[in-house]
Order: sequence, then C-alpha cells, then structure tokens
Amino acid sequence: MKKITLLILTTLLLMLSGCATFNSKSDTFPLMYEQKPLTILTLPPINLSTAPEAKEYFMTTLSEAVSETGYYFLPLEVTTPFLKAEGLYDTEIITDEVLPQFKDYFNADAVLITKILEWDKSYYVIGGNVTVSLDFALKSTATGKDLWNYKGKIVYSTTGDSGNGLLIALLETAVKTAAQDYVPIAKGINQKVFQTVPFGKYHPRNNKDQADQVKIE
Amino acid sequence: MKKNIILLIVFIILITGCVQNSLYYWDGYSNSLYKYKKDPNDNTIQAHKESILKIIEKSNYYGKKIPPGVYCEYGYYLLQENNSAEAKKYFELEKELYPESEKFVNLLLKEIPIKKEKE
Repeated sequence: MKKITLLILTTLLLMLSGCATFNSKSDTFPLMYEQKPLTILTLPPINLSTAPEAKEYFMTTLSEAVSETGYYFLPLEVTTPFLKAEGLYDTEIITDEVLPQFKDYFNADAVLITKILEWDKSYYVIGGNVTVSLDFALKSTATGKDLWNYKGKIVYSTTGDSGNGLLIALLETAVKTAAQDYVPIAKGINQKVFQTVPFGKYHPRNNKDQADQVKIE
Repeated sequence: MKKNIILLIVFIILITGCVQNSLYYWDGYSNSLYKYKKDPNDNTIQAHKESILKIIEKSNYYGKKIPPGVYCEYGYYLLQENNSAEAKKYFELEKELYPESEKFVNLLLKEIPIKKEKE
C-alpha cells in the first residue's frame, strides 16, 4: 500500500511541477482587465523560421485557439483578402499609426501579432521533438500597447511521456487523417500559449480568472 | 487508505483542471482548412465547406453556440461562387449571433453589388 501512496505522490508532484505557475493573470496582464477587448483581428503571421509551412500551420489553427478563450475572432480567411486590398497585409511594416484603421474597418479592439521565430527543421520523426519559438502579442488598436504577450520556446515531445506529450497524444487521436501531422502540434502549442490569455466575454470564466496563475517564460 | 483516496481525488481534480473543456464544436475545421490552404482546388474547398456545415449542424444538435466567424466564412465562400443570395443569408446570421461583427459584415455586404456588376 505504501508503494501506491508513494507512486501517487510522485505523480502528483510531477503534475504539480508540470503545471508550475508563477504569477496571477491580473498581475501579468492588467490591461486586459482594464480595456476588456472583445473583437480580435489576426494579422498574417510573421514567419522567421526556416520552415516556410509554419505560417500555414498557425494560420489554420488560430481561429479555434483564440475563439476558445472567449473572444470574437474575426474570420481570418475573410479578413486576410481585405488586408491585402487595403495594403495592410505586411505585418512587418504595421506601425502604431496604422492601428486605428483596424478599428475603423473591422471594429477590432486588438490585433494579434504572431511571430514564429523557430520551428525546428529536424521535426517529425515519430518519437522525436519539435522545437518552436514564438513571440505573440495582442496589441490594443486604441493605445498601441501590448495587452497580452507570450514569448517563449516550447519543446514538444511527440513520444508522450511528458505532460505536453500527453496533450499531443490526446489531440492526435482526434485527428482523422495522418496527413496533417503538424496541425495537432500547432494546436497543442496554441493551447499552451493561449491558456495564459485572460478569458473573454464569451467564456464562462470571463472576469473570474484574475487569480489564475500563469507561467511566463 | 483514506489518505490514498484523498490523494486520488486531488490527482483527478488536477488532471481535469489541466484539460480545458471546449466552448465550441469545431469538427475537422483546422485540418480541412489546412488541406485547402496547402492545395487549393475544388475538392479541398468542398471538403472545407462541408466541415463548416458540420460545425453548424452539430453545434445546433449539441445546443452549442456557432463559433465566431463560421457563418461569415461560409458566406464568403458562397460569395466567391457568386451565390450572392445565400451568401447574404450567412452574413446576416453572423451579425445576428455576434453583433460586434456588424461593421465588417456590412463591408462584405457592400461587396455583393460589385460582384454582380463584374458578372
């Protein structure tokens, strides 16, 4: 019996450290609670990684990830052609002066700027790792300030012995075809990144998550 | 023994606490969109449209709200096919469900007569 207790305790400790947290959401992202953005527009991802496809992996998985945090996420597939037509497609050259235009055209309270710095090229061998470095920010269209951001490197094990691997394994079972190996990985990464976002209007925990702990790398 | 049970309960709470329940039903949205973006053709767009219709159908079935932008995106594809009347219907549904989309949807609705002139 003692062995079982020990085993459970060890697993518990592992899980606790896996979910290790440092700061409350309201201390980390106070502007989110002050400005209460509702509508989010995503600008085309800036891909600085050596994997040209990385941009698509993220573009196609962002709607789910952001919507699930409780915000109104403008449909990327529809807004992108508009951005192109208005000459706002090049996220690299978007300056603070341009930001009010996103409010005018799209009623966007904030824009999501996503930079993919690294998507490890030696990826997808079954049982391997995918290393992704990201720099994501939610910028207010009214003040130009960052309401939320996430900078960090995520190493994803595709074998499934870490907490993250477990998540990936769970997501992978939900995917019907094997051709989209990276979509569940991008989804898993998004989930990790966006769980730090204070919940929006459509989430039942909106304005109730101030004390939630987030780990910022 | 009691200690074990308590530990087990804490363990279960932790596990469920780490897994988020989803607000919406998404079907194979990201996958079908990815396939379409990778290789845009009649088959991939049809498959993506079907997965959007499934989101609408199943969300209604499960009593879940249709995710943001889904009606709008479907309407946009219909507009691309010059099916203006149907497109308009979906744009209006988006506005109704998410009033904050009004400004952008109205921009899309303005596109409709322009499209017709081009025909």
